[in-house]
Amino acid sequence: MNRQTKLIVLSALVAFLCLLPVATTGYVLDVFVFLLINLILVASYRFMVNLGMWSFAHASLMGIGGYTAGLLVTRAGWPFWGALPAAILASFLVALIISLLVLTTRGFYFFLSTLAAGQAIWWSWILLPNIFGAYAGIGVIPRPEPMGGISFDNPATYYYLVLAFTLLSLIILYRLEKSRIGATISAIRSNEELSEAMGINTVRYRTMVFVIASAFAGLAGVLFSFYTRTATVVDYSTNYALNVLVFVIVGGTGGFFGPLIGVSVLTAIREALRGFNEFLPFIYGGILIIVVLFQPGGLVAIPPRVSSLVKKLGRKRSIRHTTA
Amino acid sequence: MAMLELMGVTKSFGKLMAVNDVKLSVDQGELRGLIGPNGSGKTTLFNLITGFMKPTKGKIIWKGEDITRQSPHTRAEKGIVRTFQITTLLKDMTAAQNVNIAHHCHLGISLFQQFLGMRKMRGRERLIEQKALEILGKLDLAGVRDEIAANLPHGHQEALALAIAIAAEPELILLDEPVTGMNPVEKMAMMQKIRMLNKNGVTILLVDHDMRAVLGTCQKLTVLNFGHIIAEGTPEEICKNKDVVEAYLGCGTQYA
Repeated sequence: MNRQTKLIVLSALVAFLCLLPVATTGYVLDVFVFLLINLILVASYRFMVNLGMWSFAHASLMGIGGYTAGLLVTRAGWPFWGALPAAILASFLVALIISLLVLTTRGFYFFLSTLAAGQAIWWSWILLPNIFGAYAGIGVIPRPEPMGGISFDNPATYYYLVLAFTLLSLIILYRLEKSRIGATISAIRSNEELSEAMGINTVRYRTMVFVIASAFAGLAGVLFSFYTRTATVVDYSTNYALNVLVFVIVGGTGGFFGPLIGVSVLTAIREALRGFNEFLPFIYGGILIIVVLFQPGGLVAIPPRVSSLVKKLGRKRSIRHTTA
Repeated sequence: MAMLELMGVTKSFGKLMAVNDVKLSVDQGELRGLIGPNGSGKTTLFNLITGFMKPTKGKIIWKGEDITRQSPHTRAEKGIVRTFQITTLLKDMTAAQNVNIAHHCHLGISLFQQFLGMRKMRGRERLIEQKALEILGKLDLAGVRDEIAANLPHGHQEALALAIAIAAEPELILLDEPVTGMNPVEKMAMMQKIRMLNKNGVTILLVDHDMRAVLGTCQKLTVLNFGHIIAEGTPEEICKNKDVVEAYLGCGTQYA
């Protein structure tokens, strides 16, 4: 689609999201709050995937954000608006430390090293139950303090808070991609050796991408834990990490919006098949296999494929006419 | 004045000595040819000079500074740029984008400013686009500037690789077989451009197998065999050198 159509579609979607709480409440709002949080996770994940960094630590870094903010508010009496930046900073720093190790690996080995790092973080929560509350999680996390007299105990107001952060995150990630930094990242993806020869410090860029993505994961974690009013190890397990992976692959990594479309479609499918919840891993797994086998570019790659197929059929028909 | 100095540089892979105790000195403004049979260590030497490999022994000095342990991008920032034997480009980007990105190390803009896209950045971007077009023009690539690099014919790809190197504003360029796979007309054009580049003040270290091109372009030659230097001198001296002729048939008396 051309730029104008894109803008119109995006504006319509944003308007829809803004008006949602007016039209629905309860369960549907719930679904959308989690969808918005997933949008942040998925967009930040793609930022890493752009450089071929398929991390398995994203959910754990999300957990760092959720736990840090939760603990600061429940145990240390911090206000939400202080705990939020502290939690994001925590995810940023942990990612920075991990990066020293995981960035010595590439490709599949990167996947494995981040799996190890993510698991190390996850197990630290289990092995320190006095601090992290293990499976029971940390106590009841209160909603953020009221702003301008408006309480966030109401899911609708909290929804708007999440929506604001989601839009802000997506705009930042989009601007990053379109900036010169994004062009440099594309160059590294295209040819890392040549980029080094051109004077690009590829390790510094990989580190930057990894910690920025992790900071966004931390933000997602805070929004998550303050919505569910708790943080437990179950929330940030490998299951979640795998789901992010599936969203991104099914959506397609080709463009900025691929993973966003992917998570939306899969969430819609999950809600449509609400009766078959136990089969969800099976369903997601099946979709993943089908996409990888038949449509590796993901959902976003379907329109160009369809249009080129149509063109091909058109050409065949015209050839048949001329030879007839 | 010696710009680049290699002192006792050795690179071994297990028992194999790809580069053996090499002592090399390149002065500013030189157009130096590095020749030798296949497997004599020329590309390894390039890798060592540009930082893609670190030597087992020895030192590499650039403008008086020991750069032996520095990474490729640091050396590129210091002015040492290279091309690769197998044409290396950003294949999925256009020619103009390739040259654009190559300006990276001389942007003069912090990452933060880049992100914000402030006015200073936009002004600099325009300047870079202009410079990129200039460079493409000088290499007769202006017509294909919006063509994806992978779709360009081989000769244009080699020229683009050179354009990328020039865009990094080098003081020393190492050209690894820049005319391979070109027809004689393209070769002459390319060597002419290389000479022009040298005249504009860029020191050049050139490796190639086309003896006519190398002998006709370079002022001084260094000959490598089995990882060490067997001769150094002007084209005439080299062609008369018994060791060189022995190691490397086809020195020939004709050169352009």
